[in-house]
Amino acid sequence: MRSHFLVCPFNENLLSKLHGKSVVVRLNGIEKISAAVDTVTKHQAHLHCLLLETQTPVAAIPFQENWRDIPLALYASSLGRFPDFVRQAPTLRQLNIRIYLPLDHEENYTSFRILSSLGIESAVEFKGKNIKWELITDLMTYALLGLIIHAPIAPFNYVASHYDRQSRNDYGAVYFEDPYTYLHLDDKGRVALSRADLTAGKFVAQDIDDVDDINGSEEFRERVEGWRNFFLKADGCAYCQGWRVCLGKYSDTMKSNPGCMEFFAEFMDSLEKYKAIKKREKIIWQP
Amino acid sequence: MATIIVKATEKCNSNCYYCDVVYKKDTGKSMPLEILETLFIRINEFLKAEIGERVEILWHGGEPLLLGPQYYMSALKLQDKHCLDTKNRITHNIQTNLTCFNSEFMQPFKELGIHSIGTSYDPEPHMRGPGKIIDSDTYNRRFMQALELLDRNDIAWGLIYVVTKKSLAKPLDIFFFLSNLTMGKGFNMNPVLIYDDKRKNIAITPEEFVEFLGAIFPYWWKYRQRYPDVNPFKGLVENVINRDLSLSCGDSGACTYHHINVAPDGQTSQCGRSADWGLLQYGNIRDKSLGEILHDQQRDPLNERIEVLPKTECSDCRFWDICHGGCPLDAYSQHGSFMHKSEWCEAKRGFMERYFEPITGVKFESRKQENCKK
Repeated sequence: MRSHFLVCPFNENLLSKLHGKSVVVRLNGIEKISAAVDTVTKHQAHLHCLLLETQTPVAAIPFQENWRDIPLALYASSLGRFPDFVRQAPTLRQLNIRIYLPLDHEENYTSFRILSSLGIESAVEFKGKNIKWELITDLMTYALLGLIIHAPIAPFNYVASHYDRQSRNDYGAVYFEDPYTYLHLDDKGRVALSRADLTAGKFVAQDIDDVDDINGSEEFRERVEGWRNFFLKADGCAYCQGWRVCLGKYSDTMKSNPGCMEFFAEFMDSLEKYKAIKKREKIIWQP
Repeated sequence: MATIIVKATEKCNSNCYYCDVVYKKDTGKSMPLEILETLFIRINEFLKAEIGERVEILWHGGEPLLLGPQYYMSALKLQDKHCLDTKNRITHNIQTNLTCFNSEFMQPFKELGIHSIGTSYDPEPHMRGPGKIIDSDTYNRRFMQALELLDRNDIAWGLIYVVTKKSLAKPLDIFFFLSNLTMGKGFNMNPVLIYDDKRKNIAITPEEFVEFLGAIFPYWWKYRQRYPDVNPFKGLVENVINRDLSLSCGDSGACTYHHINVAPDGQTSQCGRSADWGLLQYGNIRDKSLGEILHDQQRDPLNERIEVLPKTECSDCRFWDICHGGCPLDAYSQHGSFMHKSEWCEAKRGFMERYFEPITGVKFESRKQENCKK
């Protein structure tokens, strides 16, 4: 069985117990980056990435070249002032970073294209009730089928690289939300299956030592089999052609903002085009 | 291959709206082990006499899982006892509503070689379920739990969806629901067959069935690699485009000397429906060998039908090779005689001519037409 990546707060006492484990360390300030890396190294854990959550715009973060070897997942609010961002871009392009931006800022719909065109990987954070699905469709088309070279945009490229048209395709892992891959720990080392469960205090194990048995637990089974509940409802997401990719992630807003249905249908079409293009190996005249 | 439909019990824990079993007066019988033992003795005799033959046992009901896992362990023991040299030519399948399936069935199923389960489902509320209210909530919950258990144990399953009047308003929704649920497995859409006046409100005509399939087919054809195992579409593609003429029992015209339905008391008949209607009764397995039952003279008219129809009602139909006049029991229910085509032939013909051929661009040619060309 594959071992989990443990998403945990930056807490030295906790990290000291995670020897040999792969960890995602949550930080809420860039000033803690170096200390977090040092602590993980000191306790011989493996750093999967640092998960940095900040309300600071990307352009206002003083990125440093010596972060080059630190895997970073940066959740920021927006790109910020464009001139400032342009000054940051050369450094940013050297980093091992994915920038997450929420959709509750309208300018961010454009920011993904800017980041991608500059070769910086990004991820759409589907936040807010008024997601503009038409704009997301354009962005997805750009990410998958745009001809000019550009960096991947998650979850589109993530799904494209994992897509199986005859299976359920979950992209929760992009957001560390996949109990097969990620578990969430609090300061006391209690284990939750998602960030929301962690916030709600809904733990599946009281101690990290139980983590090795987590896949056998009833809670784990209920969570990973939770998709079946959609088929017990008389209407809703199970009746949608896009379900095999969205898996009901937008069921709460589906009735008030039904654009997700068209988006995911279009997404699946684009995924199949993308696969077909990737399959066609270009043969040029020069051997 | 001889197919033996073993009606292991007439009892059912569900009260599905479109099912004939719930309207039968006498539905309480289950097959005692002594009859089951006789059946395996008969199967062994048959396979010993017919070298190269195979027998498929299709466990059916009622709801066959109501008999419990022990019953199937007993079946396994009886098979081991009486079919020592022939059991490798016996295969087992089961048709169940799955609502009483649990992990205790795993062992007997595994040992009987049941690696795939046939089931049926309807997302429409109050179509399938126990009790007078047809409690679909309870039914669906148990059904989903069973699917989870099957998936966890890598047992394949496929389902039948019965198209009713209620389905007609939302063909694509239903298609998406079923394809999302089965995901990588298969499902089959069949028309509801109603033979009484009590449930006419859900009956559909062949024309309505054509329109239902026709609303789905263009989408399916475009995305058939995404939804590979959807019938009747996949079957027709194999018949028409790949020229593989393996057909279901109703369309094959080949059930005559191959099918036996065994009721709980050992009485045999052609199939489940003929047994329900008191037709084509071939005697009891306690008194007759399978060979005698399979060659009962009452079967001859079914064979004769295959000779007669192409010269009469089906003479102008180019789809004979993939239809054979449809199920003779359907013809009987409408005309009181087997020597007619089924009314559902028109559904196949209509679908082929109005949807399949124009959309795929492939015109079906019968063997007769092909031979003429040659």
